[in-house]
Amino acid sequence: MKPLKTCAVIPAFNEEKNIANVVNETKKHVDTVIVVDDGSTDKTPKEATKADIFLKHIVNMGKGFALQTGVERALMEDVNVIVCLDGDNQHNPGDIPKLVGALIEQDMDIVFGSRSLNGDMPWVLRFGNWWLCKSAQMLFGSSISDSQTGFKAFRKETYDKIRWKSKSYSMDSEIIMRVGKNNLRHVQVPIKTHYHCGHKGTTIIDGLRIFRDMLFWRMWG
Amino acid sequence: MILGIQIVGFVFSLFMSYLTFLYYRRGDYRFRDFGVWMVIWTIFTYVVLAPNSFGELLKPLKVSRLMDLFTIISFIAVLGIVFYLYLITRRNEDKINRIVREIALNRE
Repeated sequence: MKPLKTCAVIPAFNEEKNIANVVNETKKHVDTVIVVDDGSTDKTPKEATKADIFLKHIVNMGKGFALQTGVERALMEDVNVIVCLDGDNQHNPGDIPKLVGALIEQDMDIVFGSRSLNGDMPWVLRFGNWWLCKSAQMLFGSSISDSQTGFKAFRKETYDKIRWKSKSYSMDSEIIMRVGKNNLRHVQVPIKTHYHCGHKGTTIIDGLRIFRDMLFWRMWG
Repeated sequence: MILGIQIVGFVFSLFMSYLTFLYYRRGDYRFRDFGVWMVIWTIFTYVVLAPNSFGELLKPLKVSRLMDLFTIISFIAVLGIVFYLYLITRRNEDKINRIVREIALNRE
C-alpha cells in the first residue's frame, strides 16, 4: 500500500506573532507545510521561513483565495490528504492526527474540526457561528455544528467536488454547501481552540456577507 | 428666467468640467477621454440651461412633463453606466485573481 502523504495549507495575513509556532507545530504531524502569505504588511514572510513551501500573494485577496492558492500548489505534490488550518494559532496542530485518522479509518471524504461553542470563543463569534449553523441547517440540511471552522482535512480527490469560489470567509460555508450537494461522506471531530486576538478574523459584517452568500447559493448555487 | 435648480446644475457642470480638465492635465487619461467627458458636460449644461428645447420630444415619447423625461433618461443612463462599470470591475477582478495566483505559484 502506498504510504499516506499529508500536506497542511496555512493561509496567513499579518500573523508575525503566531505563524512560526503554527508552522513548527504543524511540521510534526504532516509531510509538507505550505504557508500562503496573503499580502501581509508585517514580518509574516520572515517568520514563516520554516515552511516547506512558502507562497506570497502580492496583495490581500481573502482567506478563501489564499487557501485555494495553497491547495492548488499542494496538488502539484504527490499528496493524498490536505489539511487546512488557520495561521493565527487558533487551532492546535496536535489535533491533525485526529482529523486525518478519522478521514482514513472511517473512510470519509472530508473531516471537519468542530470547535466547542463554549470555552473561550468570543460571544460575538459564538452567536455568529450558531446563527450561520442554523441557517446552513435550514438552507442546505447540513448537520455540521461548526459551520465556520477553518480546521479541516480532505482527500485529494475530494477537492474537485468542494472547489469553492468564495475568496472570503464565506468559503467555509460554501464547502458545507458543496458537501451536502455532492453527498460527500463527512464527520466532525472535536478540536481545541485558543483565541489570541479579538479584533481579527470574522466580523459581524463578514457574518452578514456569509449569510447573503448562503441565500444566493440556495437560490442559484 | 433661470431657476435655482438650474443654477445648481450649471455650477455642478462647471465644477465637473474643471475636474475633467484637472485630471487630464495630471495625465490620468488620454485626450480622447477628456474630449468625451467634455462633450458630456457640455450637453449637460445645455440641458440645464435650455430644458424647453426638448419640449418637442414630449408628445412622441408619451411623456407629460419635461421633468419626467429628464428623470427617465437619467435613470436609463445611470443603469447603463452601472452595468458597464460592473462588467469592467468583474473583468479586472478576474485579471487580478489570475495575476496574483500566478505570481504566488511562480515565485516560491
